[in-house]
Amino acid sequence: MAELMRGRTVVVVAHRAGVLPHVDRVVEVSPAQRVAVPGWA
Amino acid sequence: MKAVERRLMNEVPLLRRHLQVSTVLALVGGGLVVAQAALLAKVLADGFAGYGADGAAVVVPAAVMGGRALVAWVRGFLAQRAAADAKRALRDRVTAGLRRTNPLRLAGGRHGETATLLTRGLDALDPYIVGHLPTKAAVTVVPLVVLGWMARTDWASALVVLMTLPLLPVFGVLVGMHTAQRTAKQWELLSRLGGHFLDVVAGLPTLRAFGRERHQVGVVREMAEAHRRATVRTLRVAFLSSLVLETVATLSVALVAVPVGLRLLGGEVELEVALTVLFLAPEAYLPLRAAGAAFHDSAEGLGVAEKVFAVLDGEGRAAEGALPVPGGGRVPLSVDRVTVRYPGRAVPALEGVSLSVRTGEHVALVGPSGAGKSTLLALLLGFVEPGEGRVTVGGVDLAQLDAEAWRERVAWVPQRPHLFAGTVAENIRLGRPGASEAEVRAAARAAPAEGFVAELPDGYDTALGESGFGLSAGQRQRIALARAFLLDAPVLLLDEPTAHLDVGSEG
Repeated sequence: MAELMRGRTVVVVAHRAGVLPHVDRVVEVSPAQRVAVPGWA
Repeated sequence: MKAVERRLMNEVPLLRRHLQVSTVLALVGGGLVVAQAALLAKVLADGFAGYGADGAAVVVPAAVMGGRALVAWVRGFLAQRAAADAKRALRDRVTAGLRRTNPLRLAGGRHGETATLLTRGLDALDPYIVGHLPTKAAVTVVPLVVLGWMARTDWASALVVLMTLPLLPVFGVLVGMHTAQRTAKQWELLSRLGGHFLDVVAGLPTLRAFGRERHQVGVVREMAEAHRRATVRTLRVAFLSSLVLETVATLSVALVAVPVGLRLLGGEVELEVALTVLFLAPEAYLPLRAAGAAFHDSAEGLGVAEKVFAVLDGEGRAAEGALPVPGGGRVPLSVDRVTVRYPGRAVPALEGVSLSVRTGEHVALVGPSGAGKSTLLALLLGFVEPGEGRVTVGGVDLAQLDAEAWRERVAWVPQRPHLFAGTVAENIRLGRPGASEAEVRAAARAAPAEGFVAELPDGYDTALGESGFGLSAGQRQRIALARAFLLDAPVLLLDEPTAHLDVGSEG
């Protein structure tokens, strides 16, 4: 997976945070407001 | 001409040419009909009068008959060719229309109905193009030619034909209006049957798991029975219509023949004139009788044409800009205060969402089901157009970009990737059709799919069934990842790539 993502702009939908160790930033999409807010890096 | 027929002529211009050629051929055919009747009447009248028939008296009528047969053959040949060309043109139009349709809307569509429409459905146009259009041309020309010659030969008989001719279309229309409704119902049932059958076949494993496959067999049987009943009802009306038209035409011919016979006995008309009238009278009604029969055959075709136009007019066309992709796609992506509402949903899928992704950055979107994560990916792909706000690629609105060029720069792995019937290598090579075997293997290694592919009976040459039948969900997803890797696009969009993968493969 790391090789696949290397050098590319990647947006990945994950069913839970932390399952993909190769991401720079996690953005949480909230169902209540449906607004993406900056998460943790 | 009905609105759907006018639209059909505009959408497929070759049909207009077909109608024109048919009219010319009908005119030639009408002339030959008159010539044949006049020549035969003369030969027979001369024979009765005791004049010997010379060679020309036999050869010329025979040549005219041969000419009629030739015209009929040419008409049939050109009609079949026009039908094949028209169906191909419409299939191309529908396929091109589906390609332009928003992929997400397409995925939610009724595939069975579309498949029925593009295959068996369009074949229903054959009777319209091969039967109805040439007959329509004949109706406008042949009765006039025949009537003109009859008026010249015996105006009294021509008057009777002129007064009885309109009876056929009047009765035809009365019965036809009833048939149109029946045919529409029949087509609706056939479409529903096709769609349901496709759903049942696709969902057979699930149905078996829940022990519901026998129930579905019953449902399909009921639908097939409903379609059979509708077909029989339509045929019953069509046969009744033919009976009515044949009766009216036969009585009309009798109305011409009986007075001519009586006048012949009274010595008011010559034998040659009487024979000409008797030969020509049925020919005047023949195109109208044929038109009546062809009308019923063609009704289903016109119903199908309406369905085709509904697909062509369908909503959900993806916006198509023409601007090139800035920086070859190696640029920041931005979603700016975007709101997305799906039709029929009260709550928006996304409301005022903003997201910025730097070039080369890896961003994970997390959140519970239904939060709108996949919709965000669909926005970046251009599959969904924002109701409010905008999506930009390197500062340029995505809606203004050449959609195809943009998607060439995006590798997308959906949650449930579709694998096509073909080998493993062919499915991976979908990312880049010209990729070498070594590149395919390298992509599989990166996915990582190499391990399980090596265990397949024929490795990369193992044939997969439709939807990747034979592979697990995780294996299908790895094939899709290899496909994305091979595409070598600067932007990678992954929708839950770990959903079906074991933890060991996520590293």
